[in-house]
Amino acid sequence: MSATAPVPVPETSAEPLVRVRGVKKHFPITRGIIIQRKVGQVHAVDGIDLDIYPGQTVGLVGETGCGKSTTARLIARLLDVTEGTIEYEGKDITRLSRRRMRPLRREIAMIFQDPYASLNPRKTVGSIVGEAFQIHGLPGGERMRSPWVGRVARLVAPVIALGALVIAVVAGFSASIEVPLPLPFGLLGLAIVVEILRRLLVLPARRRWSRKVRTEVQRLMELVGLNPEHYNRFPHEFSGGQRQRIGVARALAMRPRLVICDEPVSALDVSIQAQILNLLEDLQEEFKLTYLFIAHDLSVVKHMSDSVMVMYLGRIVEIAPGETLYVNPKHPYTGALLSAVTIPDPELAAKKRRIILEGDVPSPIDPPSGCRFHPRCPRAQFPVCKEDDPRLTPHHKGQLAACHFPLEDRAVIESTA
Amino acid sequence: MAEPLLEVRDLTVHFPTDDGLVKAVDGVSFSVARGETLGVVGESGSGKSVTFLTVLGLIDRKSATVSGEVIFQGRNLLELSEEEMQDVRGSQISMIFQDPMTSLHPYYRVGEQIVEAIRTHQNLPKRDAWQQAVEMLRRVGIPRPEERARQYPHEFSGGMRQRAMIAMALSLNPDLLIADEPTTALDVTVQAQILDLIGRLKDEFDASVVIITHDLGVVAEHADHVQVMYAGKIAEYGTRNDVYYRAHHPYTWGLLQSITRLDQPRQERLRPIRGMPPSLIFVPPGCPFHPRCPYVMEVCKTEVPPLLSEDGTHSSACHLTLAEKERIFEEEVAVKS
Repeated sequence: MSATAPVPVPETSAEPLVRVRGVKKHFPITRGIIIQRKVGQVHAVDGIDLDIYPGQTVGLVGETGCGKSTTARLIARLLDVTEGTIEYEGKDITRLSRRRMRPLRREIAMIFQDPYASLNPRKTVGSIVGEAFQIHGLPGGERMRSPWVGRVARLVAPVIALGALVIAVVAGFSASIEVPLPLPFGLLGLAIVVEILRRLLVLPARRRWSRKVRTEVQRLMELVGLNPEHYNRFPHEFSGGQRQRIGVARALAMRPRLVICDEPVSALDVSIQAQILNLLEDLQEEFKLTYLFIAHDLSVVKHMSDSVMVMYLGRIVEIAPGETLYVNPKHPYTGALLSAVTIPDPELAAKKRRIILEGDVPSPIDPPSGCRFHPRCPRAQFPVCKEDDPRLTPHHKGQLAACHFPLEDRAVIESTA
Repeated sequence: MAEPLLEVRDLTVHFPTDDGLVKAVDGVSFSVARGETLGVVGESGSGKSVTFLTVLGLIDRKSATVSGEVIFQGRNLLELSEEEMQDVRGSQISMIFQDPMTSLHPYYRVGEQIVEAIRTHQNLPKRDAWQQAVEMLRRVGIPRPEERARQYPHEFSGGMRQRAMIAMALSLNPDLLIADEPTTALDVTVQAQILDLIGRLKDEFDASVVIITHDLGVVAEHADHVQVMYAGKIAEYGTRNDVYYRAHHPYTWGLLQSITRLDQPRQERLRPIRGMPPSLIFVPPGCPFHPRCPYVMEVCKTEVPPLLSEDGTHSSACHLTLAEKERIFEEEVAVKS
C-alpha cells in the first residue's frame, strides 16, 4: 500500500515542503488495569501519501473520525507515526527526538478548531501570543538573557539559605558544637540581600525583554486585526471570531513556513467565518505561507485550497483541484460529500442529484475489507469491491481517485456555474 | 389564508442584568401557518433561540421581562400557568436542540427517555409506551430499533442521537416542531440525512416546522418562508425565493455574500460583513445594523426602520427605497451565472 503513489505535482515544480509516505497511525486498545493486554487497535490513519508544496494550500476533507486531525498531528509531530516516513524539506523527521525537533517547531504552527478550548483562560492575550518567544526567543533570534548574572547567580541565594538551615539544624541537635546565634540568621539575611540585589540587577534586562515581546505581540495583534491595546485582556473578553484571531496570531508568532489549520472556522458564525478565511488568505500572501487546511465542509476547503484531498476511514480516496472535484468527482464518497453540501440557492439545490449515504462510518477498529467504502457505496459491485483494495489512479488533470467503478463526469451537478 | 398555527405579536424579552438591560428579543411579530416550514436565520446573539424558548415557556419569568402575545391555536401561551404549559410542551409544541449529546440523559436508556416523554402526557401502560418508542425509532430511520432502544446515548453516533431526539420530539405527534440548530454539530453527510428526515416527517406527521440556523444554506432546500433576525429584531421576512433571489436587507445580502459557495468558481475574496454583532445591552440607536452596513445613510443612525411589507409577505426593515434595494441586489449581490 505504501508504494509511492503518483501524487500530482503542480506546475511550479519545486521540492515539496512536506512529503508523507505510507504513514500509518494505530492506537492500541487495551484491557486490564495492571497487566494491560492489547485487544485491538484503532486504524486512525492507515497508509497515506501526500505532498505539500511551498506556498500551496492543501485541503483535507472528511467526516468526523476519518483521521484528518490525526494526519495533522502526525505531520506536526505531535504524535508519533506507527509506520511510514514524514520528510520536511527533504529531511526525514519521522523519528527525531524532542530536542532535535525543537528548531523545527518554529517552522510548523497549528491553528485549532475551538477558540474556546484552545486558549488558556487564565492567561492574558499577551502571554498567550508571546509564549513562543519565551521558549524560542524573538523571531530575530534574540533571547531573554541577563548580561552577566547567569544561572550561577540564581543559585547563590538558595545555597546560602540552605547553609544557614544546615547550621541551625546541626546546632539544635548537638550540644557539643557551640554556634553563635547570629551566624545562621546572618547567613539568612545575606541570602535575602543577595537575592534582592540579583533581581534588581536583572530588572533592566527583563524590562527591556518584556518591552520587546510586547511590541512584537502587539504587532502580531494588529496584523490579525485585533486592537493592540487589548494586550492585557483575557480570552473570555473576546468573541469567538476574535478568539480565533488570537489563535492565528499565536500560530504566526515564530514566522512559520507551514501552518496547519485544523477546522479553523467550523465553530464560528458564517459571517465571521468569511472574515477569518480572508485573513488567512491575506497572511498567506504576505508571508508566503504554506497551509494544510482541514475542514469537514467541502465548500470552505474548496474555497481555500489549490488541491483537495478527501479522506475516508484513514485513507485518502481522492485528490483533485477544487474545480475538478466539484464538477467531476470520481469517487462515490466525494460525490456523496458534494451532494450533501448546502447551497444557498433553492433552485440549484433542488437540481442537485442527491447521493444520500445510508448508515454511519464503520468503526476504524475493524475497517471493512477491500475498498473501505464498499458497505455504504451505492455503486459497489461484489465481490470486486469487497476483496480488492483499489489504488489511487489518475483521471482528469491532477486528479487521482481510489475506486474500481468511478463516477461519470458531471454525475452530481449538471451545470458548471 | 387560514388561521395561522402560531402567531407571535410584538414579543419582547428583556433580561435585567448587573451590566444593564439585555434586549434579547425586541418587538418581534411573525406567524407560522399549518404545515409550513419556517427558517429562522441569524448570528449568535440575534435573539433567534430566545424567541422560541419564550414560545415554549422555557424562559424563567423571574429573570426576564416578557411582553407581547404568543397565540397558539387561539390561546395566548404567555398567560398560561406552568401546569397548562406543561401540557402544551411536548404534546403540541416540541423542540430539538443543537447538541444531541447534552440533551439526552447519559444515565438512562434511549428507549426509557422516550417512554418517559410519552407517559408524561398519555396514560399508557409501560409496555405499550415502549412499543411506541420503538416504533418511533424505526420511523426516524434507526436500524434494529428494538435493540437500539435498550442502549445508552453514548452508544449512539451523533447523527443517531439527533434521530433519537427527533423521535422523542415527534412521539406525541406535536403540531409544531422547533429545531434549534439541529445540524450544526453534525457532519455534512449526516446533516443532509437529518434535514431530509425532518422534511419527510413534517409531511408524515402533518406538523409545522421551525428551523433555527445561522447558515442560509441549511434552509435553502426546506424552508417555505425565511425570517432573518438581527440584534433581537426581524430584519427581513419573505418566501424562500424572495429571500434568496430578491433579498432586500443589507444584512441578508451580507449573509449571502459571506458564504463560501461550492457552486461558484473560486472567488478571489469573500465579502464578509464587517465588524461584529452588537452587544444586546448597548444596541446601536436607529437601525441596529447601521454600524456594519455599507449603505448607511444619516436617517439610519437615528430612526429605527419599521418592518414594512412591499407585497404582502416580503418585508424588510431598512430605510433604503425599494428601487435602491432592487438595484443594489441586482448589481452587487445576485449571483451571476
